[in-house]
Amino acid sequence: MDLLTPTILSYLTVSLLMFAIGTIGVMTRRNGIVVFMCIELMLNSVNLALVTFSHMWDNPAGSMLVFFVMCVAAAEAVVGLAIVISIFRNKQDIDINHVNIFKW
Amino acid sequence: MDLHLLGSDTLAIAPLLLLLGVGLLIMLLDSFRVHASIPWLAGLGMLSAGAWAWLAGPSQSQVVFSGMMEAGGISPLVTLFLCLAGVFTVLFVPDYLARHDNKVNDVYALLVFAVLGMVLMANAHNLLMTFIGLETMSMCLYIFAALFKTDTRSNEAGLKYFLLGSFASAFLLFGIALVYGITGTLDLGELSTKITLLQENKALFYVASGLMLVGFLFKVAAFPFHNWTPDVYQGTPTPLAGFMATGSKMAAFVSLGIIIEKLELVSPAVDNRLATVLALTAFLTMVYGNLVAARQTNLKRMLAYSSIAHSGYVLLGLCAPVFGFQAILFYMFIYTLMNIGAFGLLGMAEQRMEDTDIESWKGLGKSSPYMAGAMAVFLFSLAGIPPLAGFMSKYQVFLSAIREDLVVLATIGILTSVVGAFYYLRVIFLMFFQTTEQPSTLNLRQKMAPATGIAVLVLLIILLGVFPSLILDPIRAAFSSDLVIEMASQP
Repeated sequence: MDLLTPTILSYLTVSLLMFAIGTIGVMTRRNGIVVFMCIELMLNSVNLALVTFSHMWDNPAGSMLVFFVMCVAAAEAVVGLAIVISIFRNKQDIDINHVNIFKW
Repeated sequence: MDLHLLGSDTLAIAPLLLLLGVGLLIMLLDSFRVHASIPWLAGLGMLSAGAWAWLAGPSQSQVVFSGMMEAGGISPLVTLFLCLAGVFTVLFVPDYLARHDNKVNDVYALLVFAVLGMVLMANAHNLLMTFIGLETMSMCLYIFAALFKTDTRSNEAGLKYFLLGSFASAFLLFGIALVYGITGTLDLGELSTKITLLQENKALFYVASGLMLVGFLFKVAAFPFHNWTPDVYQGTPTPLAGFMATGSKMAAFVSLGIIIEKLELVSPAVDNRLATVLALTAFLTMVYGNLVAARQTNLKRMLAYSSIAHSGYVLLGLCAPVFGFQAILFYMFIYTLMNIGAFGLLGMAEQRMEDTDIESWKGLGKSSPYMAGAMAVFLFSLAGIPPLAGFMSKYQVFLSAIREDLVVLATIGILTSVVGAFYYLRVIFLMFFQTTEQPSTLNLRQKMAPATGIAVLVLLIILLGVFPSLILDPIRAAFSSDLVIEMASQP
């Protein structure tokens, strides 16, 4: 199967761009919630790629995985925001540069 | 699918359903304020799930639930090991939480769910299940790290683990998506046939498996992705950190081993650069983990770096197909026993912040000789000194590497484990031979459950060191039943 037909390639390019933006965001942003949003962006870029591939191969396995990824992202949001809130209660601040007690 | 098949499918994953039921029941009991029996329920639930999987599991390797899960082959044994990791952890948790005035009973439900996720991940026959199992496990572990809500150290551990963990999961997921794009399937069986026939998109396949490797290497704390390990372990409640260091790694290594085997990532027949990457990672992880562990002053951090080093040895085993996989299963089981023991004992000693400093363990051999002796057994075993089980497990891994002509790598492994012996023995030296005016300030109160746990673990480590075949033979038998199926299914 050729991955590089123009239609598929354009979807993949968008997906890759989103993934790259997410990765750069995780590495440069310092606000805990924004970092978390960037991770969600990465997961969604994967979803776009999966839907594209699923359509390309004309089989539902990829679309199925997308639903599970969305569920996992929702669960991750619950855990992540709970952790961020517990930090905020203790420090009134969620800058990840200020979360640095441990040093080696 | 007809009903008969559905019944046998359900039977094949009955241990998983049992774990799920126990987890839900614990949450229910907790809301009805039935507290005392919850740890027992969790422990017994996991023990019976493990025993059920091992005793009643099919001996022949087969695929159930429309190709989603594996049953038989190595999976009953892996399920047993993972459940045992949970059982040993649960022995140490209630005492630890009580001493820290934290009565969160949900932690037992999460422990059971974490084991469930690990079993799902290790028995997956479809990349979708691998991903779900991994996330189920990770989600519980993130909460473990952040368990003490008012403690800023625990907050920090939780945030670091959560952000970096989900970052790594995204890479793994992108790798899975690309593999799906190249082959059009997520089923590991189908993948392994399609990958061998793969002609075009070879480069893209390397990228895909590289991305998946990043996700796994993060979970097992291998060298370039290890940075979170010491911080997270230090902030996590100690017995749960022990669980993190063992169970999650075992699940991730088994899953990685299966994927490597199915996708032929390190087979010598194929021209493969990923084998080199894996070997290099193993080398760097062994060297880095051991060298940095040697200069730690905090026992918990030292154990964290030592767990990085141990990941390196297991990666060395992964570089050698077939025999290496058997060796790492044995290795991970032994490692689970000794590390849960060491972390559990550390948790029993932990009263104040400074109790995890190596210096405060000075002279413990005088004040509480039994506990110091047990710690010495765990540390000797981690260092790989015969006749303890840690020696046999290291021996098996190095042997499998030498069989596959990875002599240089195995030699480096042996040399770094000599460096490793230095920092383990330093703690033992401090405990027994350092003369101090005042006895150790550590207060090791011996409650029934954790003391029993320590005793059982010490006995198992000595027993398996003298008679390793007790575990090695079942592992070999499980693998050979796997191989029979593969040969029979080939035309």
